Amino acid sequence: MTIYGIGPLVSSIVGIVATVTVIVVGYRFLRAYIISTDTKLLVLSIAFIFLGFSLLIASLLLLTMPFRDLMHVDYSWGRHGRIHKGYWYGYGYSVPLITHLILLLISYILLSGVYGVERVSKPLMLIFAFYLDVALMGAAFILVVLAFKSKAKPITVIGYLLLTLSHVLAVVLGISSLSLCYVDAYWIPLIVRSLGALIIGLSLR
Amino acid sequence: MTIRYRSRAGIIYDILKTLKDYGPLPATRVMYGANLPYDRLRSILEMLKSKGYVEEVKEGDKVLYKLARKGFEALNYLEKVKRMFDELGLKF
Repeated sequence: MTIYGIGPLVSSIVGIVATVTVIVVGYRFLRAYIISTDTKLLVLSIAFIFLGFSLLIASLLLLTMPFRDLMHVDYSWGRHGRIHKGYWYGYGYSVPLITHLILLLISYILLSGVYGVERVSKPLMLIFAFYLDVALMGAAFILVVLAFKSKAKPITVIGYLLLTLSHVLAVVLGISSLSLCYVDAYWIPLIVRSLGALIIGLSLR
Repeated sequence: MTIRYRSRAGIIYDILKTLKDYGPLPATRVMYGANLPYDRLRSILEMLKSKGYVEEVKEGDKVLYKLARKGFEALNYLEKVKRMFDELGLKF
């Protein structure tokens, strides 16, 4: 393992811990749904379980990074592929990555929807119209605003803020979420995202 | 006067809590305790009875409702979820 792989490795571990925490929260909402058949609980359950699986997928992807030098899988994906020749990158990588982003987006939309039903009258589906990164950032920020307006506990708002920050970082660093295949620094937004999810998960324990 | 919005889970929580604190109770007393109209209460009580959270007890010609063992577990669970809702800033 090279020192180059420590960041992704740490990020993956935090991501996996966050996954477990968030899925436990989702499971609790699911149990409560079975008791009460309250659809709001089902929506929350799906949102948290999707958030968890999304983080798990990204973490498992990153977990392969420290060992990629050993894999020596030659892959060329246009011009960019040549930059990282010898690393385990490719189409097989982008499928789980897109799944991660879609699950994350659905999770944010469902969470926004739960707040939205209580607080705002207009649906938030317009965020589909934006570019995925900006949509994720916007959706996460909507969560911050809605949670703040709903007088959520500061720790929950901080959690949502970290989720937003992770997407801001991705955009500001010029790392499109879809270009994880090319950029090695993607673990930085992911660790922030995982910490956000972890904080929310732990605050709900 | 402010109207307190309650989710379905919140209503079930209030029914189970009333039965835990004051049960066994007749349906009318549960109605006042949980602050629900009678017809709504009846349908929810039937659902809770079918799931084994609430038991019917006959006392003379009166029908009383009490919390079953499974109901105590359900109430504990809903209490946890209520706290989670507070954390998230959602109404329970």
